[in-house]
Amino acid sequence: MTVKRITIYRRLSQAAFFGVTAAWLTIGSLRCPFGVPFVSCQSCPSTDCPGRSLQLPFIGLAALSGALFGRAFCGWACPVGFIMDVAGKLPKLRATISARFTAIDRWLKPLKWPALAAAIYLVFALNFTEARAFPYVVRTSSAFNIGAVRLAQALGDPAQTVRLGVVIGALAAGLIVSRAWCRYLCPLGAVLGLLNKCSLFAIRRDREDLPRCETLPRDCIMHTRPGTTDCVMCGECVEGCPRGILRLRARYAADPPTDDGNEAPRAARRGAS
Amino acid sequence: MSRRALSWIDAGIILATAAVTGALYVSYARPGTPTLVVWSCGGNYHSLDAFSRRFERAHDCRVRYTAAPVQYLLEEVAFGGGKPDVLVGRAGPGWQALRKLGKLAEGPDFFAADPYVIITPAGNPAGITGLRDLGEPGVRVAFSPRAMRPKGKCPAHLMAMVASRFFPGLDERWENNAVVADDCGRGLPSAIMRGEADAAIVARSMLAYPGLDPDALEVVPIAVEHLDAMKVCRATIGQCVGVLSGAAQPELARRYRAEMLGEPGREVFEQFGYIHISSPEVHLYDAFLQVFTPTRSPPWQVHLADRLAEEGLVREAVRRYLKVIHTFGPNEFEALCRYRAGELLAAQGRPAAAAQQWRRLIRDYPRRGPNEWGSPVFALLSTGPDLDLQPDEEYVRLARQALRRLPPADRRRRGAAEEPVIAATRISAPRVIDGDPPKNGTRELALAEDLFSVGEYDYATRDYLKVLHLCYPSRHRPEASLRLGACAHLRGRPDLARRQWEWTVEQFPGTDAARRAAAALKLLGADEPRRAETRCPVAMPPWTPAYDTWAERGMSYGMALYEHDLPLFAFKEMMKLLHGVYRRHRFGPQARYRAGIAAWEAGHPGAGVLQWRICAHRHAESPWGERSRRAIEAVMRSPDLTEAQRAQVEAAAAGPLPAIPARDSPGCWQRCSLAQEFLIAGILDEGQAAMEFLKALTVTRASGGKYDDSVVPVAEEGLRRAL
Ligand code: SF4
Ligand code: SF4
Ligand code: SF4
Repeated sequence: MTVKRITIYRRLSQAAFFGVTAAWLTIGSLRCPFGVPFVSCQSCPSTDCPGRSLQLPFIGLAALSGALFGRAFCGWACPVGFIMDVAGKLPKLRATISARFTAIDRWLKPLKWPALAAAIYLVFALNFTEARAFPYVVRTSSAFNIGAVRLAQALGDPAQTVRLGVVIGALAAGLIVSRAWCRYLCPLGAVLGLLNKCSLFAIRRDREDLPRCETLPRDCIMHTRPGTTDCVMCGECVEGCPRGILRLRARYAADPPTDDGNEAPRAARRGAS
Repeated sequence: MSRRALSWIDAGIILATAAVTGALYVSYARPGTPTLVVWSCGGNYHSLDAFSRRFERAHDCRVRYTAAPVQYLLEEVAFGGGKPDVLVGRAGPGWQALRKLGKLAEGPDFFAADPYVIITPAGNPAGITGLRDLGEPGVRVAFSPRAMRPKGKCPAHLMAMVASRFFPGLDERWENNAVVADDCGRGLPSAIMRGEADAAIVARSMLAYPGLDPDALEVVPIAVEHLDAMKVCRATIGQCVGVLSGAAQPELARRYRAEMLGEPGREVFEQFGYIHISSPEVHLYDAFLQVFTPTRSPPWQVHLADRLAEEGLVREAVRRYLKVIHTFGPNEFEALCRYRAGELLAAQGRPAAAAQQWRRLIRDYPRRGPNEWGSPVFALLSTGPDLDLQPDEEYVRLARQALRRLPPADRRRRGAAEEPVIAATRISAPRVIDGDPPKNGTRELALAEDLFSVGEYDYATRDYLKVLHLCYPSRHRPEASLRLGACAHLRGRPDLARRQWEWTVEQFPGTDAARRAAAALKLLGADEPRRAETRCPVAMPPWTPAYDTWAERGMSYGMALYEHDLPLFAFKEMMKLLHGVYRRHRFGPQARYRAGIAAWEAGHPGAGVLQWRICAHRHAESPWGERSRRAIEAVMRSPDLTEAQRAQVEAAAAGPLPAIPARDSPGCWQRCSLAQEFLIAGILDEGQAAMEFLKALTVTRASGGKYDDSVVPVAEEGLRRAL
């Protein structure tokens, strides 16, 4: 992926959010006492997990950013997204596979809907039932205490190990396919993706009457185009658009008038296609 | 800016983030510094975290500290790959297992006591002075029945024990008063602080949890004699520390333990609400500062059920298996019990009932999630009977096989076979949890429903009546009363059903049960009069139900059994009263008198006369002695007796009086004596005498170390005769 100015802003934002939430991430995803982590923080006995204070602001931010900018949370704030972006920068393996990947990718992306349904089911089946899946808490005052993760695995329900396997598998998949978890499985991403269809701001062509690009944006980490439920609003395509016709615009605003009332915008006049 | 420069900046941001993370890790792990691994019970987390930080500073070392429920930690150390240097946690059987396995280099030593206390909002608006007040009308209680043992089961157990020894029904009243049910128990102090409830029972150390305002809470200590009840359960009050053999840092570990027991420990732990071992106050709780393994009831109950089945007492065996699930559950024997109950029912020629049990087994098991009984610690320390217990999966497999062997019609769930009048009374049976106080109304109702579902209506009646009388004032009384009517109807007694439903409507107005009872009444057909041939010529004196003492409850229950046409079981209750099962009371003479009428109506007129003779002889001065004399005269004169009855009555009225076993404790002797009463009276129906002898030989062993081995030959001999 070509690094642009917007990549740097995005990276700074991602790193900042990672700093705030990293401890929660390890504690939450690796030894959360609830079957589905990050959901039941407000009633969680695990006082050592930062989730209790972070969960509501986190949800608030995701919701607000979702209402305003669709799935921008995924592109700019989510710490898992950050890890996946970093993982995606590492290997050569990815490039060789991604060339032939488009068709498979198209088939796999809808997986996120059953994954969302499964997550909703699991939340009700594991977190809000009488017998929560892992009804014990492993506490530690440090997110670096790997012993606590090991202990959680040793003491817990086998489902705990399955969950750890999913996390490791998702990270590993990210080495091969950019943002594999975000593309195919993340339930939060799926929900936020729906907001791409109705958020106040969206990435749009300067004018709707301009022709659409038939090819996908070259550097898209999600291998998609703006406006789809997969787009994480990273903005890379705005800066990278060879015709320069993509903008972050209010969704429901009318197309801007052209200079002379008739002509196509500047970029289109340059004749890029 | 050039693409290349931007790439470098991007890489720089990523590397900087990684570097900060790495630096934080290094500052945590401090490579090269000796590291002590400490595990503790979750409840000790805040205090031990503080103590560990202090220890790190004092000894320039690193303490890698992790907390989790101690029974799992103990198990992990004893049987898994866990290798901490120091283990800290409340007293429990796991410590004995470690000792037995030679895994402890030092300890366990008690470093503190953490007794239960009552907390109230500042100013104690409800005026709580002790446990008894938690059952007073209008007091709003917070509790956490679904929490893990120390916050869930232990307070419930405490209330049940206090109810059993001091204030009958207190556990039920306490449950009825609950307005906050916290999931994990840690939220109880905050709920009280916010004024959502007037009181909660918590461990004293919980008051030092972060985020609580000590000025917003008031502490009411629990009388030590009330806490004393906890001695028969797990001693959760004492807090232990042990150094593991094979510790990687033995010297540091020893120092850690020594400091916990010494001045540094005192400073930290007192700040976190514990009573440190060096404090004079700790002696109040000396009795709790011991590691011991209580005898568990469920294995003995299963053993009793097995013995009952072996002796052919099938109905009681089925009830006992179901009792293991509901009265003593949750436990590891549930799948086994369901399977065996099904087997017994099938052998009795009741395939549909058997199939119902097996289907439930397949539906409900194996149970998910960790549980303490699954621990090999128990197997190691077991003093119980040898039971061939398989994993749940095995019973599920067996149940599937057994179901397949049944004819298809029986295998399936029964269709719309239920009469409308019964369908109108259907309720959803509660599923018991660990935090249900022992023997409370929820458990009895669940058992009764299960018995109902296999068609054991007489036996279900017994347990519904327990909800009404022994568990007074259980919140399940309306449902139990409603279902009693259904049982009566199915037992062929619409007259009793009508009376019960009318009573339900009158007693529990506005409840769903009352509405359903009214609906059932409309569907009820004509009453049939009660069979006359077994009626005793002497009328049972009326009894007004009362619940202040256990004896009153026992008498109310016994008389209710009588009214529900179960005189055999009424007789048994009178015997229980006479032999101390319902503690001390002044009902002896009338219990004996009433036992006479119950025995008569159970089909043993001679036994009835015998009871009156004993009463007249032993309580000659009491009005009941006088009544007994008159009762004997009345039946001797009665023109309505059949030939057989007259012969029995005359035989019983003559001859020397048999010796009656003395009222005695402990429990094994109580059971043995009341069984002997059945033998003396010649009442062997329903295997009740044999069952009580078997109880003396089995389940009473789980009564807190009070078993008297000299009961064994007496009970064995009695059992032989009873069979
Ligand atoms: S606060 Fe509790 S529920 Fe939330 S992520 Fe942390 S451990 Fe899981
Ligand atoms: S899809 Fe999920 S993991 Fe990926 S960035 Fe969005 S919220 Fe984070
Ligand atoms: S379509 Fe554009 S904004 Fe959306 S993810 Fe791809 S590059 Fe980012």
